[in-house]
Amino acid sequence: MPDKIEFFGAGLTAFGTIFATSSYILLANVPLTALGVGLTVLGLTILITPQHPVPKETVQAFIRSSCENLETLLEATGAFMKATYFPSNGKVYAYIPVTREQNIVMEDVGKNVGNLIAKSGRSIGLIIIPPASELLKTSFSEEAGLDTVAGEILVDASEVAESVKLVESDSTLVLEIFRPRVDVNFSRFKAVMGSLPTSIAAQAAALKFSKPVQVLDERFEGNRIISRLKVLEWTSTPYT
Amino acid sequence: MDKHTLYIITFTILITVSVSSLASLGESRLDVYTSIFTLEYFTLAAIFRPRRKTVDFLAIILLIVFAYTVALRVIEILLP
Repeated sequence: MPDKIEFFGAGLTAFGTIFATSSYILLANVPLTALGVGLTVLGLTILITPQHPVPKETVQAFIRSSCENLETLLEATGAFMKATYFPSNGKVYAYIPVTREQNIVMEDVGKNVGNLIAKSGRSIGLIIIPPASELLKTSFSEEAGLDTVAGEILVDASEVAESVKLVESDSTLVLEIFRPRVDVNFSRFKAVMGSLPTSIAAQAAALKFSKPVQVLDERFEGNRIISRLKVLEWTSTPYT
Repeated sequence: MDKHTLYIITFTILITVSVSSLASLGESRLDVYTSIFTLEYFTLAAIFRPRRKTVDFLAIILLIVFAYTVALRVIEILLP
């Protein structure tokens, strides 16, 4: 049901249109016509701009809850090795090794999507949907470069950080994330998945390159995070 | 203040100021007004990055009107 502001927008659009038309035809007055056009543009702007978008705090609370669930799962399974983010069917998943011995290749991990546990020989790992994976689906654009994609997702869509810089060198990506606004203080989650901004950036990289991506390391320097991501091949094992 | 509210208020002020300024200067070309509205619309969209409920059809309409205006001016210069 439309709210008051939408009625106001619709009213302004209708009034502006009538005002502009009558000023132009009956009065032949350009400034009044322009005022009518201006009111119409303003009315339409009000109509297409949501007045109650989901508040940033709500989105961030959802992300935190999601991370808390993962923290519990990681604690329960005793996972401590770094996760590998990989794309599958336009979505990003994270493979978290549980056993020390890992001779499974990422290609085989990808075939296990849909199962919580991926097993091959003595290699056992979890396949989970990382936080903000759905966000990537809606914000991802094929044509844009990774720096643009990372900026759109981290800065515009999730408002997790203020800005992002990216340097690519061979298969390593160095990210500089300025003023992260949201992070979680779950130690196991951070050790396995990386900090929240880095985790989201790694997911974006996996989707962009259509290859598995792992967080190599990250440094916290004042109000910025410097992360190194490694783009893996599908034939590589999720090394630790 | 919520950024969407600030966006609407800023746009309202800019439209009011631009119409009153141009009218006081005696501007009688409608395309000048629409070009200013287009400029303001895109500048504010770039600054505030407001979310939209639908496809931003208003941006498309304003851009088409602006392109048409510019094309007419170019034709006027090339073919006086």
